Amino acid sequence: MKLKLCFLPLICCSHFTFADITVIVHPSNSNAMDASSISRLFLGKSKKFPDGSIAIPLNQIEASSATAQFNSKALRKSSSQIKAYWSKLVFTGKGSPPKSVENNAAVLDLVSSNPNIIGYVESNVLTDKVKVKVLKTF
Amino acid sequence: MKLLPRVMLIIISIIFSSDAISEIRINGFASIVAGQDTDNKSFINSPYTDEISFKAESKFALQISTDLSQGLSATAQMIARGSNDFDTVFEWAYLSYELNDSHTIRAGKLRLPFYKYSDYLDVGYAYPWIRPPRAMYSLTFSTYEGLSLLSNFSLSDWDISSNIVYGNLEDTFFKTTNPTEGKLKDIYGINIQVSKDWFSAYVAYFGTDVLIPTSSIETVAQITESVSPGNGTKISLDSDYGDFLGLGFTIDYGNWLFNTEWSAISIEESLTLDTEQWYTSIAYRFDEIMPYVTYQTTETKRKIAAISDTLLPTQIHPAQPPLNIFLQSALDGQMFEYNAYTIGIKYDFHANAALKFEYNRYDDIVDIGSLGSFDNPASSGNFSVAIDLVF
Repeated sequence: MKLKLCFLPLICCSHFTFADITVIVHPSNSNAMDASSISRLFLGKSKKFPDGSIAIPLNQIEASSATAQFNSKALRKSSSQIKAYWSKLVFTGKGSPPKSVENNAAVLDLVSSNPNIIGYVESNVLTDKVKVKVLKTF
Repeated sequence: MKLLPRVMLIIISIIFSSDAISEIRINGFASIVAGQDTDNKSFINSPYTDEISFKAESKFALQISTDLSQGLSATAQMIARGSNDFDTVFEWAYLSYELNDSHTIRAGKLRLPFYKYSDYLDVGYAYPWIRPPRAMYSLTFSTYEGLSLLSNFSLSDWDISSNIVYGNLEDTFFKTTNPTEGKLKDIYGINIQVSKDWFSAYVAYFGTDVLIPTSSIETVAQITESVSPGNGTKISLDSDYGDFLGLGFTIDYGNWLFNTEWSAISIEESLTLDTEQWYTSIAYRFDEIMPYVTYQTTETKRKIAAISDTLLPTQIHPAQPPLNIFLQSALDGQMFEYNAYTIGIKYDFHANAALKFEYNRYDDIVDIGSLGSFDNPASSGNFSVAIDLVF
């Protein structure tokens, strides 16, 4: 028991040093999705929400800290693995990566205005004022 | 060959005439590779000599593609290779139409999906090595003109994708040894891939009629025909059925990346030998640094000449050997094998670029007439360094 308590501060610290990543959709989007179906959408392996409506995944630019977090936590790949993955598809005409926007604010803006868009933001930018629905937090 | 420039022209005009709604995407990749053999044996499977060269494997490529809405898109990829004096050629040029969520049909100049890395052979950034193992990736032609049907399915947690191809290829074959204008007619085949999480595997089969009137083979065919009428065709590459079977699997688990592939190639009724090749490679990721080792090997299968024991006339061969003995020496002269160990490292020093170092040790080289023999196989080595970019 003592041992477990010792680890608690460590766990808390690691929790707070890196912002969580939250995958968000439009409030009217009623789909529930697990980590693997979210990852399939962002890797271009599927193109629709579970209810059959078209899904438009939205990335943040590589320089954004949310992107690196999302790649490692949700897609479980490093940024260069992701880059290599997409170059395989792009240069064979089999697919192209999701569009990228500048930052969290741009994602919130687009997600709140289009029910087909699915994006990710750092959890700390979500406030009561933001009109989006949380799908999953990593 | 005649059809092709017209197809390209159409595709390019579509890309550039498309209205403002459709978006033009430009992507590119480049590799700057320098290499040097550790000796002056000029082993045919190394593109280098004992003098450092930046040209043999360096390349620059640009790809333009556009979505024309309703599932139609056009793509053209231009590549300038050092081995071709940096002359720009179209490597891919095709129209693509999404029939539905799981089927896409493509038409134009496309890549033959022989191997796991066929589709992005040129995109060094997409694989760990400086080049895919050459023993395995031995076919020197890689594109065709025709159709391709891409299909994707998922079955519980498995992703299954297939590429069914049909088309033709006119090209210069045997470029390094005996350049010959030839044709692969009615190429058909399928490549099926399955993947789940960290595991993926594929199997590929292709068949084609091979018409390559190589002078060295034609000479032997004429001699055979004169001595044993009707049998010259058993020597010539005159519409003989050739086939390719390949399979492989990849394990990409945690920081480990394991790859292995095997293939067999044969052409019926001709003065050619069947070949078999495989490699296995393992790499480990330490964040940006990925060291790797590879073992690769290729060998030809000995074929026994059994056409006729008629003696050759003196004007053809003063020693008057029986035809079968003469053919046997022509077949045995094509025996070729070697194996190689590769040790290398990939360093992702930039989000869009990787730096690679690689050493290849070639052993047990038997390339009769050029380097090594079964009694006395040769060895050789090569150092290479590369920068691979995507943009």
